[in-house]
Amino acid sequence: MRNMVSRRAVLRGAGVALCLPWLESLAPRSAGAQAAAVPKRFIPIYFPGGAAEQWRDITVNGTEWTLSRNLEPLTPLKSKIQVVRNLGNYTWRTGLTKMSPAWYEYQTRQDTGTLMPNGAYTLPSHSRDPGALLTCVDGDELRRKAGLDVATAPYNSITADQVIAQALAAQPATKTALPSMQLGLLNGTGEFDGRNSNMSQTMSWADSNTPMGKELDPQKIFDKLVSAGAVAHDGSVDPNATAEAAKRRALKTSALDSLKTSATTLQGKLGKGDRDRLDEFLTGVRELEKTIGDGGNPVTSAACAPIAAPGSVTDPDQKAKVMNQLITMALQCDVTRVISYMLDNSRSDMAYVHVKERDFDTVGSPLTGATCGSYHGSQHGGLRNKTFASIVNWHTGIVADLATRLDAIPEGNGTLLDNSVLLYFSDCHHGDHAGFDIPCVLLGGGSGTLKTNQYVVLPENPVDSRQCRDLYFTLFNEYFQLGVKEFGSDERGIPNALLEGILA
Amino acid sequence: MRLELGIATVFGLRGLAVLALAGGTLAAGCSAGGGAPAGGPGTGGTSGVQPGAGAGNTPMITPLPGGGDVGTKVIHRLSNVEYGRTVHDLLGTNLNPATDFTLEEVALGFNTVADAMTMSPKQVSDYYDAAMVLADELFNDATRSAAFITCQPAAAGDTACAATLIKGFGLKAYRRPLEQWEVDDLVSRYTAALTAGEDHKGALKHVVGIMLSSPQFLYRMEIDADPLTQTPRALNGYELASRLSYLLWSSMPDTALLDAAAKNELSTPEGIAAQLQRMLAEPHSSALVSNFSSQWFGANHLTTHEVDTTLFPAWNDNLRVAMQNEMGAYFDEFLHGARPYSDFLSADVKFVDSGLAGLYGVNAPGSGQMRVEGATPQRPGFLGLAGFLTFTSRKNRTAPAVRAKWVLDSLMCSQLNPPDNLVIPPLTDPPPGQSLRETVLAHSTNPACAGCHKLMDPIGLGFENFDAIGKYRATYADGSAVDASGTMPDGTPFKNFTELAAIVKANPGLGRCAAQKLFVYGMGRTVTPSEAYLDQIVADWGKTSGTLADLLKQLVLSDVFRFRKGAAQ
Repeated sequence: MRNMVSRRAVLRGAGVALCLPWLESLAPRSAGAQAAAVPKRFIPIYFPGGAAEQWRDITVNGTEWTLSRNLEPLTPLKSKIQVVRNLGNYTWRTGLTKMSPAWYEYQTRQDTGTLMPNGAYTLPSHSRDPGALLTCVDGDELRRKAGLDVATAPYNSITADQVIAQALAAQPATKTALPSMQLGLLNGTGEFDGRNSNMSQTMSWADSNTPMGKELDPQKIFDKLVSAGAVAHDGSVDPNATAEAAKRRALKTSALDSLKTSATTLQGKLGKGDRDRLDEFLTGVRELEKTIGDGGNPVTSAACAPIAAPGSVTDPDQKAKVMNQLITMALQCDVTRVISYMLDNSRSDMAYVHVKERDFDTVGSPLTGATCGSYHGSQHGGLRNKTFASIVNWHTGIVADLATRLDAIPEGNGTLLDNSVLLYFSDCHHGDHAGFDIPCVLLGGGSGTLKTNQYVVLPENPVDSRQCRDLYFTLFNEYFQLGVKEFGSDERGIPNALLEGILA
Repeated sequence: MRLELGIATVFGLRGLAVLALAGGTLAAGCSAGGGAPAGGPGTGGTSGVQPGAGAGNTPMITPLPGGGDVGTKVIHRLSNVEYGRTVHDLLGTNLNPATDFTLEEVALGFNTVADAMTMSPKQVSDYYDAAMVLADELFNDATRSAAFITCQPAAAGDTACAATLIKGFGLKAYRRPLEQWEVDDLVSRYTAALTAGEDHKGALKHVVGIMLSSPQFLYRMEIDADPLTQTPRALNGYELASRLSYLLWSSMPDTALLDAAAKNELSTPEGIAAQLQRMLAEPHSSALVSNFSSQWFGANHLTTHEVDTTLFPAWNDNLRVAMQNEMGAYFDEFLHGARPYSDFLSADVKFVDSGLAGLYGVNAPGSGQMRVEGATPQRPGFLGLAGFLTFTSRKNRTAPAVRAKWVLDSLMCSQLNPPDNLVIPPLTDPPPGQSLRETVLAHSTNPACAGCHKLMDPIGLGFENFDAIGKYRATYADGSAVDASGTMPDGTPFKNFTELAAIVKANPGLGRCAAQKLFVYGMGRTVTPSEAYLDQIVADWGKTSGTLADLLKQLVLSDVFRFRKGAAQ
């Protein structure tokens, strides 16, 4: 039986401790005047199942470094990014050190030969790894502790993007019409790997009970942006100030009031678990209320440049471009500052027939003549599977396109990209289901907080390895200045520490 | 709750004879769990028997010997499949907004498990948008709109007509008569829409939009007078009607079923049985094939399954669809047909179109699908169907362990759980010079893998006479002969697939597993704490002719289907 615990208790127990007013001891190194005036943004972009070894063919020559052929779409942006190696996300795994011989018995890393703890290979990986990617806690253990069914309950923990979104929404100066957005590009079907489907299809959780889902339809995203105020401001009459718009608002208000009446009346007749279910419904209704017209600060960005209504887009390349335009529009119009974006679902079995296979082992990365097939299948097709590398290369091209668009928008002393942080990453190393050395690229300088144009190689050995929780901890406190004391869990007992290597 | 159990419990007592050695092997490195009976039955079931409660034909719960727990049922959000079928039946629409919804939540193998259903802000928003689109479409269609608006207000301010229409539509949309507070609220929304400038039709559209996005429509709710009560109570007629219609049709009750509920006809076993018979005869009951069996037996996996057409040039989308159709039609033999489920692994019945006939080497029909009996003795039963043999293969070769895992999961309800810290290495094709059999058997040389693989591999290799699209083969591509012989963990030898199928068929756990699958699908929850009722259903099924329709009857007549109790807190 699902046995909900209160949202407050969840916030307490789930590994995040917001501390307000914030602690002097955590004073960030760069809190310049410009950083305060320019919006701060966090855009995690997920792709599933890790990367083929071609991703890691990065070469270093003295102080110079060269991207791998597989990462070449990022070459024009090289001065604005950093590629991070050996960042892990597995020390959350409950019992990791006690799970003898999980920690003390090692598996050899197939690519480098280094010995890694057995426990870093998490199963079922396509549900537990993505579920923990932005929480850095063991969802299985959370469900166990809450008395819920480990396999079926849709229950996790607040994600790093939502920690930021909720903190920004709590301050009038940083509140936006939409606290955050959750977007998806492709919706590949496949097994949910023995857990509730939200563990592998959803990236953002507002709290333990609230998976945020994701919007895949460009037209719906467009409509949402426009109704949240992303319209060009030229001084003309408010387009909402028509009688028709007033009627629509009145009707929507009436409808949502009715839904609230129903849900709350029914709650009075139901037991606790069911009341909690209807709480989820009410949370959704309140989110809808925010879109009626009074959901936050009016859009003030003079640079707001809406695109034309996209309508229905199905071709993956076309859709990827439109999604990038919409993300750019959302950020440029300052409708939101936090967007999580899933390029595909975990364990997607989708056939990428729109991608031509390339050979990244050969100079020029020539086409092989083959067309890419199942994404998940390719992940289990060997360390240097060409289809796997080609699909990830396609995703990388999308991220490069987005970053290029953001880099074309002047803001402050630089560009919108310079002031933002995009995190392009995956939940596994590759088809080995391992949580060590996950693909990770940071794009944008975070208003001078982050170093750029560098290849960061963190310690590979498990004892000294650095984990995702420290990356978020660093962004929380150095970039967003939230004063977070602790985030995520580490079975080694190691407290959070800044990821110094990525900081300017 | 996942149960870590010895395999012996899973297979039942006589199953032990078949797979006796497996238990010992598994203890060393592989646990089987999920759905098997728990050690002790639920407690307290008999202590809280509800008396007749006045009304002459209120059902009485029958105490189970040894006690039984009917369990509770949480409010149950419609699945995407149910949503699509429900709006079609309710509104006569051909739109299916659910195709754009968040992907279906699947748990315990099915999309009907209430505990797994979420309601994220995105889902609320999608439901709301879909409701507006559906209401718009309904009232923009002159015919359907006229059929809905059967009265006009007598004068300005007259809401009697609106209230009548709301109650009439509400009975179907909420699957029960509306309560007064619901009517009052919706009438007030109707009036608010008029005030905002809508006309009668526009205001009704507004109300229908609200109703289609309401929790009463989106959730199936069974509301107890006291939500904490642990005393089992009989479901009322409308609650039972919804349980029946979503079990059999994946959709809302029709008018006849709602009428039966109104007349209290569902309070007797005879009344329920009559409705079951009627509903099974309706075309709507194909949902048991398209939704239940396709998840149970994996035909839905064929939709995205890939085959390497350079190795298997016969493969195309027509064949894919023919295989899915055949799996559905085969299942239907045991549902609408007269065959007992005990023949599920032995009946030599195929449903072929011309492509599938070619694959099986039987005479092709002139057009469409044709039923063929007794023509494929080398591939009896469900396990000989090309669809099953295909989706459990890789695109370029067979995968014996996957086939075996499906036999254990789907037919025996035995989920194999590898040791917690086991690393399953990436699967690669056999190296040159090594046969598939050698590669597969190498699994068992690693002690960590052996626990499961010693059970799976003999079963899986027994299928080797069928290639990755289920075509019979005597030799591999390199000319070497196929060896599909093996020995079960208990030492029982088999020479080929036919003998293997007979061994699996003889497993006495198959029936209980089928009942368990239907229970999970139909009740939308785990079997715990109601194993005693599952046992009773299985025992009663054993006294019938043994079809899946008989099994359905035992489930819907069981107290576990007809009674509920409140949540523990």
